Amino acid sequence: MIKFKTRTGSSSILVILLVVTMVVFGVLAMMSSYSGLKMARKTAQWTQDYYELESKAEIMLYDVKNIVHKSIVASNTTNQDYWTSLNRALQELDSSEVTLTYDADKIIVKGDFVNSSGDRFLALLTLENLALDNDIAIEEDLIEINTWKLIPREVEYEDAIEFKDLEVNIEND
Amino acid sequence: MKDRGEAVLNKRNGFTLIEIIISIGIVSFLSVYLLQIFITAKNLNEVTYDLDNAVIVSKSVMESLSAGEKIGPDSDDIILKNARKLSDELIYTVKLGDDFQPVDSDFVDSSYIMNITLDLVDSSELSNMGLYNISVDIHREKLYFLKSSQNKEVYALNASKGLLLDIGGDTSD
Repeated sequence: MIKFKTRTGSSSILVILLVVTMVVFGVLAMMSSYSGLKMARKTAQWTQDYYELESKAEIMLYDVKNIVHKSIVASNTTNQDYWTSLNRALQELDSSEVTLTYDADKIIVKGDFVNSSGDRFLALLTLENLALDNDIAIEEDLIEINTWKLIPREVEYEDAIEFKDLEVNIEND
Repeated sequence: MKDRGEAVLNKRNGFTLIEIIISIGIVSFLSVYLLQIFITAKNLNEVTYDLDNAVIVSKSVMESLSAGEKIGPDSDDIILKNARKLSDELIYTVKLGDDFQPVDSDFVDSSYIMNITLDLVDSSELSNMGLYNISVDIHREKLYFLKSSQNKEVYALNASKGLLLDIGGDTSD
């Protein structure tokens, strides 16, 4: 066992130990806070991205609702006039993001919106050729929302351990 | 007996005054930096708390409006119920407390202020609906610990939604 002749400087060692301990706790607290903040910022960004994409789908739905109402008014509640008017008016929406599929008794409006981050928002509306009378001529019956969802981009974990790495290590060993 | 007593008194096992003064000096000097670490960690925690809650509250407001809730005393949503109209335009403000719950509009020392801005982009008399650009932003009124910046924007969320034209009630003060 080492025996020191004097105890001069032992208080400095205590101080250094105390400071080091405090620094370690401080850095750990800051790292913990910062990782929490990073997660909160990601959630905030995801929320903004979601509403940015959903807004495009909302505009599409608003346009479709307007077209349906205009077609009802123009048709004088005659079913054939309504359907013809609706078919013609909906063609205005056809674009790179909004595609229309015509069927005998229904039209499918598909909105596929993509943002700069690679997230996609898919909105699928079906308009059926229902008989128009006073009871049924309301938008809830005429427009059916089949799909209204965000398809998130694929997340890649850069620090993931791959099985091939392990295999290589085993072979080398 | 006297010799033994003198021998005990003459032992110098404790810290000298100089050592203690130097130790206190080092601790005082380094504690400035240590405190900065802890204060930064505390403020980072507060920023995270603000951001997390601001996202939740903003989403809640956005979804309530989307579900057809009106802004004003008749609303079932506690935040929209406490919203006060600032001007003739559709700009509303809500004062929030520490827990992000609405406080009385006359309360001076609110912790956060939420602004809800509705901008009518397009309207249709036929369907009694309008396409609104909704903007929800939350500002922090209280100061961060040992910081002087006030009225800092915590979060802003924008979306477009098709809403009923009479979404904004008479909520002016």
